[in-house]
Amino acid sequence: MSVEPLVLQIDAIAGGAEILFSWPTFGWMVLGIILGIILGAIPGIGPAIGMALLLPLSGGMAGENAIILFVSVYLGAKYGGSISAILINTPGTAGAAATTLDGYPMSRNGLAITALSISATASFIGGIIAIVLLFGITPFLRQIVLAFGSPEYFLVAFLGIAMITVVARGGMMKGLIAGAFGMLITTAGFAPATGDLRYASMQHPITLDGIDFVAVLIGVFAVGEMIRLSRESGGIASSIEEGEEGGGALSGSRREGINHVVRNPVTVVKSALIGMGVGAIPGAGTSVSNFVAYGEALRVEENPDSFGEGNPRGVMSSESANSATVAGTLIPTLSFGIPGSGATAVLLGALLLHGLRPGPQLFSEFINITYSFYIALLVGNFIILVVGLTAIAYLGYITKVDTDLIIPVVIVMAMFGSFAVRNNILDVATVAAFGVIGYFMVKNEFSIIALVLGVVLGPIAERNLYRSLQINPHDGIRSFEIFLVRPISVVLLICIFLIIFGPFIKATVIPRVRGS
Amino acid sequence: MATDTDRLTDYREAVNSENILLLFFLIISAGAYWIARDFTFGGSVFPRLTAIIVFVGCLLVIVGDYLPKSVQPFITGSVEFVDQDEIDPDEESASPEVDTSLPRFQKPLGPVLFTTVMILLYAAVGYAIGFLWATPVFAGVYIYWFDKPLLYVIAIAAIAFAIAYVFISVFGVRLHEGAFVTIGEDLAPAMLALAAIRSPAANGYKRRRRQ
Repeated sequence: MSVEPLVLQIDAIAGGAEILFSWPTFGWMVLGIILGIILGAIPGIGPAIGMALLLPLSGGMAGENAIILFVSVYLGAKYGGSISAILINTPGTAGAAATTLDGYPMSRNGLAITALSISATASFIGGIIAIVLLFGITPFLRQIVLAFGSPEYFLVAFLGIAMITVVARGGMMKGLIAGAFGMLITTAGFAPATGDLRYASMQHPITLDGIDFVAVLIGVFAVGEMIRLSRESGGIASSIEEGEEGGGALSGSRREGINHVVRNPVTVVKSALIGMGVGAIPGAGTSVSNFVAYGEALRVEENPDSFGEGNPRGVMSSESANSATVAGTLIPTLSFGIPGSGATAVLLGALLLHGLRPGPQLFSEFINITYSFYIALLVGNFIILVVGLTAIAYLGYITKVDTDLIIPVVIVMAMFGSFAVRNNILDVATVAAFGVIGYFMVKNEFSIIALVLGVVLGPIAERNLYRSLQINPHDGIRSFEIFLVRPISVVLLICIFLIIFGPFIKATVIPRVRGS
Repeated sequence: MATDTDRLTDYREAVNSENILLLFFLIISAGAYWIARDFTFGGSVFPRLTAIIVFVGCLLVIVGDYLPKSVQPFITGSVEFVDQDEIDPDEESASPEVDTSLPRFQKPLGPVLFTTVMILLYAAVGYAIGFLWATPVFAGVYIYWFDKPLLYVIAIAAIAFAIAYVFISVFGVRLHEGAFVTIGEDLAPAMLALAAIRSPAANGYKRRRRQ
């Protein structure tokens, strides 16, 4: 495996910097970070909904500008989630769930500003460590990505869905159903390879283009989540603050918060590495990484009883990990098109919408664009640090937004946004239908990330399947032999088999072998 | 002997949202597989493959409780990195636990059902008369239902109308056109003229309309 010369890499990185620091790209990045912090801080909104709503609006933007905006929203929202976690005991995003465990007690102990400063500083350091690692990994990643062909990319799509179902609630079979259903609905309209008209009719022109993945994304993430949010009382923040525990007063010290992080480099670095590693596992994402990092910090703590009572190391471990996870999730998303979470699924959708296909292209001819995303994350972390430390006194207001007022606005934006992409009324119907389907899927523990992954990857998987079958000279069922003669394909098949049948083997075969 | 109450309970248990969802997936996948017989081999492989996975998967979930215990991990098995009660990877946006056993307020429809009905009605009415005027009505009614002050009702309806106006005038989306009725035709040319000046996409759209 040969790695590109350092000079070429530096040249590509310089190209990436040139993209980011040009106007209006830099402006989109700053806007994205600020928007992300606000979206992340509002309980119940989060990055996936915000990015889904922005997706159709980004249609007129240059591809690299749009993706930098989305990456920045994603990063900002990860930090924003900690604001509501610390101030009102409600994580704005699942990635900040572990932050509540010590962040809110700190807030109640009169250390809200200290906790928010720890969060901003640990997020900054964790994010920087992960991005530097990402720069180092990319040349090697490129070689792996270039070794993949059509059969491998087809199998990787299924592997991604299988891996997501492993960590999803409700069991693997429901995840597989959701993923396969997502792929099935993308087959409506003209077939990408053969040109067959499928599940559509010439008499109904609106059906000819099939179901748009953007509409499905918006329906599932924006409308479905709004239906779920409608269950909850209007002001989540206000209802909690009016409760017996009261809201955390904004007192404490910025300097003390920064000092806590500086005095605990091992916790921050270790959490960042955990976040990066877990983020690189498709399906795991920040919702897992922050708990793993928190658990590790707790394990090595000399006074474990202090965890849960406002231990600063609890906050910094969770925040360093979830910030580093953002860089980690980019690895499978950009290289193999397997998103690790809802937000990265939308990011993948944005890449495809703007003609940037994950895989070899992003690591060869568009490598400078890929580096511009990394640099956006790098610079974005500095902005988070500055915004986080300077705007602390005002951040609490964001968490008090009445969600009842947000719901109709989000629904309206979702409907219009989907309609704007293709001027097709079918997309409005798709948004409404998948909003309802998405709500009931979540309620019954079907993975909506697997559904979205299926919808986004469906056409790519089908195109790669068709190409794979074309490679093989045999007809009919024998054409599938192509998946058994290529070493990487065989490895992927074994991985898929082990993931799907692993629980079965673990429960039945292994005990029998041990018994005998 | 089963009483009427027992039968009603059994019926309610059978007609839960999970079973309806599984039935929906079954019908869609069976239909998709059946229709795919008319496609060419290359065009039918992928839809058939995915339809089979959905169909067989749904059947396995439906009969999962009746399968041998040793097979059940295959249906419900999942690897737990951390306590699954604490996290849900599907939830990018975390929400606090809310006691849904108590009604949020005394209304003929619960909030979820009301929101669902409103979304479907909004899409249907918007399709029929155009979204420009259906939108403020939807937003206003929605807020009014949740007992917000009249000022909020008016403000949100105005914001919703403004969003529609921006989509028409900036992005050139023809939201004022309904399938059966177009309300606000007099207003629309001015908005689309504005869109033509501002948006290249709208210019393209206008050209297509002329053709």
